[in-house]
Amino acid sequence: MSVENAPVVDVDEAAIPVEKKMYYRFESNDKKEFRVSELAIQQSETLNRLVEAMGYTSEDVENKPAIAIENIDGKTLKLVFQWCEHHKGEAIPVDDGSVPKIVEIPEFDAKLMDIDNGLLFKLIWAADYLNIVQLLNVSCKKVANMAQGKTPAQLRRVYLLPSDEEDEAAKRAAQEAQDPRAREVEEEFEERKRQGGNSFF
Amino acid sequence: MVPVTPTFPVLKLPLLARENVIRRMTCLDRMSFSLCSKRSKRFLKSLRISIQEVQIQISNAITLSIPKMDEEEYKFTFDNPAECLESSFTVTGSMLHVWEDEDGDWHEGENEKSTFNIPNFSVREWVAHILDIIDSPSLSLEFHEDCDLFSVRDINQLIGNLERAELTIYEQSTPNEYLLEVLETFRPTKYLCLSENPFPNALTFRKYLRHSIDAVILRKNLKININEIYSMNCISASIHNPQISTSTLNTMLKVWTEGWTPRMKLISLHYSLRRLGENYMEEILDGLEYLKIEEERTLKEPLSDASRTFEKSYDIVRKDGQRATVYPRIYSDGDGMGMEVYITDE
Repeated sequence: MSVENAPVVDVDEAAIPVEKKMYYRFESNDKKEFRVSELAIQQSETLNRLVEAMGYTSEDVENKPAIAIENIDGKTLKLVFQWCEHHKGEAIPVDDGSVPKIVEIPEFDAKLMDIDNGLLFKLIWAADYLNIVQLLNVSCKKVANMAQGKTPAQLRRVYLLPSDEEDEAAKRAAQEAQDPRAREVEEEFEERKRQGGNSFF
Repeated sequence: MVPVTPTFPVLKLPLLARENVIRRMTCLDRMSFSLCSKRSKRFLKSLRISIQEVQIQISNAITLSIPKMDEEEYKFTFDNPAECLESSFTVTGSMLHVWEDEDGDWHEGENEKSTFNIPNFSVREWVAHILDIIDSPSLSLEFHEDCDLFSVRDINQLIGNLERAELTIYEQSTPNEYLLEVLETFRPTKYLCLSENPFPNALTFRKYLRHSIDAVILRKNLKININEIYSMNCISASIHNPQISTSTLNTMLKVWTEGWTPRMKLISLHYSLRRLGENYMEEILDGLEYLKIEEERTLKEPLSDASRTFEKSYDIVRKDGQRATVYPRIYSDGDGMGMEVYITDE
């Protein structure tokens, strides 16, 4: 797909100082291309480091191929970049991890995440992979809200949590699946020993 | 309208995101999550969500108070705990969001309450479960009226091997033998607050006070004389009913300047101004070398990060050069007064 035909994410150009107006091109794993402002990219620690390491000039951006993001599809990446453009310039929250911080979902984010759970799942994976802290916080908050007022039994159904019995059964099945190979290795080892080899390797 | 898939495979999320989801849940929902399976409990426990302190309140019921969870406070109560301590039948537990308003009144969030009924969960299992999933360095035990509904042995078993660092005994009509057993079984190291004096005589009381406890609060029902104060081995003491005249207090300060109780950093004695008379400061400081400090200053409180501001105070110095600040703090009721002695390194 050419750059001209790429689905460009809406950008509030007035909010970006003229001298810093720099865009990068990214390509999803299904060959959809996006132009994203430098300020928006700063929300993603992963992408920010990547473009810094590449040291692209404006000409490079136009002349070189778009930066490929191989494990995120276009539909998900569009949401990610829309979120980054909307929140560009905002401080990235720091969480020391000990005491849970209260996270509110802003109206824009709520609308952006008014999607089916399959796409929300992909969005969280993308936010985690691209290390976009606040997008991860709000999307996880949306998933956390699904637990509101649920009993443990209801929660097991919503989050597809296996019961103790199911966990036990899965563990036994995994052990049984592993055993034939373990037996083979053991037999091979014994056979080599009989043949007089000192080492298995 | 976007069709919404009713399920979400939370365990298939990357680890950081999975943790993030659990951290964003309310305290009530986290409790539900911890009860889904052994695996979900283990996962929640691995997050080490830290709570400053868990309070176990014993009265005619047992309540676990979890302050500063989600920056709020939650209370966990049980139905019919007395029967459930005796056996292991299922007990229903309710977790409730409570908060204090600006006027100091407590409220309960009616819509923020979850009731859990887990098969074969007795009070003991509940307490063990809650203490297991939260990472709290300190356990505070509070005994209220009717606490003797539960035997001390049962309460001890309920808590398990946790360090019992803080103990409060509130005003009550419980027999002294029971309270003495509580004091012996749950001997605190950090904090002791007594509203009753169950000790059979002054000697046993003094013997108990000689134990090393960081902070001791002795409320109005306990008449404290100078011998009890000399017995105390704490860093901070607050005495609400001192049987100590201003001249005895003067003697106490003189004894301090000779080197008494190097461990103590703050002692606060509560008086009524009406009883003290007009020239109480002159009597308290009589014969002591002191420096009157007119300007306002701030000193750090021992055992906390808090500071206190003094308007007009008096500095005295111990033989080894250690300074103490004597400050008469007049309370807002106009009659109450706390004679505070701060020993600071500043």
